[in-house]
Amino acid sequence: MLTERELAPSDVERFNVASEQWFARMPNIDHLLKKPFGNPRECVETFQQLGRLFAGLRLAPGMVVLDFGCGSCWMTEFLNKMGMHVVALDVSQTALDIGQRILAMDQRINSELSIRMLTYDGYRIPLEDASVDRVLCFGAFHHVPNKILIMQELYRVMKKDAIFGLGDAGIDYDIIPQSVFERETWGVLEDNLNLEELRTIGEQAGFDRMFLTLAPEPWHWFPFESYAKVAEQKDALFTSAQTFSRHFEVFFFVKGDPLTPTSATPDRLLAELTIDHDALSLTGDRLGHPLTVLATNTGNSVWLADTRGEKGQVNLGMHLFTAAGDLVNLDYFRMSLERDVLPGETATFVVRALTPIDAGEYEVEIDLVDEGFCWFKQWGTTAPRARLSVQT
Amino acid sequence: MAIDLFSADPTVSFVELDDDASRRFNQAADQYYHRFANVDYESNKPFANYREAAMISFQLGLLLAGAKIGRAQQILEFGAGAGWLASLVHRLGNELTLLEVSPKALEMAQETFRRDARNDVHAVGPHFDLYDGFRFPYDDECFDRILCFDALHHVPNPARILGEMQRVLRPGGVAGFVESGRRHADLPAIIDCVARTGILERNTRLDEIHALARAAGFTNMTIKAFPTQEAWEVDFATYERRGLAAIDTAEIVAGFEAGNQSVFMLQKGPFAFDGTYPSKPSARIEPDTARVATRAGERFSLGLRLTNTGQTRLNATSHPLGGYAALGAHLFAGGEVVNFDLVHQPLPVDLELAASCRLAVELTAPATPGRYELEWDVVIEGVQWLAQVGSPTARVALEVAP
Repeated sequence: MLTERELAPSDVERFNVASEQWFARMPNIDHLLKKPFGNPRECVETFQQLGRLFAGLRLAPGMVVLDFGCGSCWMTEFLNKMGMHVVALDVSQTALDIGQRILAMDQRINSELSIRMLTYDGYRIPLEDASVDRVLCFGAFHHVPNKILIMQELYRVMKKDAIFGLGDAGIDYDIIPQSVFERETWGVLEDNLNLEELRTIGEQAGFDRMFLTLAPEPWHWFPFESYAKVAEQKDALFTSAQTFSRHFEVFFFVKGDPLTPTSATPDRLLAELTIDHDALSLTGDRLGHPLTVLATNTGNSVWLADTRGEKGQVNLGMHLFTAAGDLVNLDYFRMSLERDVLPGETATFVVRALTPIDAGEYEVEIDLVDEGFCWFKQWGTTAPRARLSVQT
Repeated sequence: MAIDLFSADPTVSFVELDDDASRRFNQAADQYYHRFANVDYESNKPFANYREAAMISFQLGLLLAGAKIGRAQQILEFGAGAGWLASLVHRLGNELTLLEVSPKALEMAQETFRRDARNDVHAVGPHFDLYDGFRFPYDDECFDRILCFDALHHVPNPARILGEMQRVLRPGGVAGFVESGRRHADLPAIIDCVARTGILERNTRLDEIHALARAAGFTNMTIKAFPTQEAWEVDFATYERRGLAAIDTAEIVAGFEAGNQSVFMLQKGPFAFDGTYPSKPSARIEPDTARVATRAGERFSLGLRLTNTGQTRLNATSHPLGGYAALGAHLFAGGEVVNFDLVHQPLPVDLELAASCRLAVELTAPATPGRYELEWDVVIEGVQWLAQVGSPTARVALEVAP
């Protein structure tokens, strides 16, 4: 059992030194510069796992993601391009130095997002409690000698609603030839992971629930001629899923309740919008008759009323057009929600005043906006329009 | 225009349009790329959009697996757009040719490559080529692979283009596609895109592709069913109770059928493994002697016999990107690696399955006297040492006197 073989401090030291040596003594680091595009077969498996990890983690731009055991920082690069703030953590300073060099080679890195590179001693992660939204550990956890302690550390640094996504080798990994080769050549720890043990240490660390993703292995393809019968070939699909999941597990440790999508991590944003009349008159900043807008949340994501300036707050908005339909001001109007709106609930806005504009005939389009993400119309909501007469 | 096409006969998606229509759609494709204010979004794919990253990453894995993308292959990317896929496959160590009808897209692709210095590490290519929408500017049989990511369903003359692909592919080559799904062009967002840009969008029906591919001379077509993202997740408790039966394979199939994407491969004749794409490569190495005694810094020679015992042809011709077999040796002292890359010696001939050859290796003894060990292995350059996939190595003791 993994829980019984938590290694002594001297072993932790030894394996951490071996990790540093693995990077420091590498005869040629070109393949690290290219990672994960160094080896074609590995690349396939990596991208299959990445797809499942990115989906399960429910990432959203602006999140702080800990890239645990980041090595030469290729995942850090991907996360940056996806709009995340990244904390890149490894026991090996050489790995981070290589990572720094690699990131500097790519002009597409978004410098407006933070990338913090940190080493740690193999025991304590140098981050404050509740400071990261997501943890991503790719192919590194099976090298960790003290998994129980590290799991507790990850739990500590995660915010109250957060997910730790782990993509790693599965059952029997320690005896496959590549692992034997790495262990015998470099002395690094090539440990076995199994679901039972991970669940036990996950629960002990305090995680509320765990889930995993399964997918068919990428190597088995159906000839076109038999594809028509594929529904009858359940066994073949089943076997291929089994083959895949045995060696390339992707699982998730959930703290709190990050799984319900919100407007800060939107999944399906949809509203039914109704207005009580479509002929508005404006004198100064006052509407002759107030406009009542009913907005029913017909999607699956909670609309957040107040995100304290961060992305993801849902507001009522209006675009201003001329009577001929030409856009005058995309951001003519904003009004915030009084409270969060769950899927199925309806919010009521009563608009009594608008920004004064020149006298004339106009049109307004009324829509919700998920600030920093999109207008609801862009994701399929029908936005009603109203005429607007402005008197002096 | 595209909408007329669909309303004329919504069940026939891959009709061949005439040359004038083809030119118009290809101009619309070029205009499409002119609309991008900067190259970042397109060149940062598959990560540019956090919502799409998961599925594109997964499909990318499938495409690379299905098309048997390896090392040192000559690969044509048809409809390469801003070059994001080409740049990734280039970094795998292949020689890429990006083919486009849109000059603007090619310009963006060159920028994509220029902005990442990793593309210059040990690179051959890439090559950027425009074509007229009708004929590929290449001789017959000059590519090992063709990749096509979301491009074929924008093509006005698919029968002709599939014919061109078949023509330029070498025998045994594979063309790999990620394309739209059965109902792609009916989605509101796609109809809106067509209305705004005038580009051609089509539904991809696998039976139609199959018929077109056979007519173009491809010998077989394979398909991968993959689940929609929602079908991937299994709660741990359910998994414990039901094990792998928790995977609803019917849902995978249904999700694939209804999905917005299809992934398929077209093959030109029978496929064979070699150093550019090995499978279970294995060799038996028989040194003439198990022990060598020599003096520090002295030259000595060692003879070996090498037999191909695996399923992969060990091709010998060297290539700057690797993908060929060489005899290698690691030097150890007291169980520690002294020089991992002591020997990389090309094979004298291609080693077909079960074939043998002899090699003579010239070596210089270490400058420090002592007991060493030489571990002999075959390496497929840039890909793997055969020991990494379970092939036996051979050891020779080396005693170095002062």
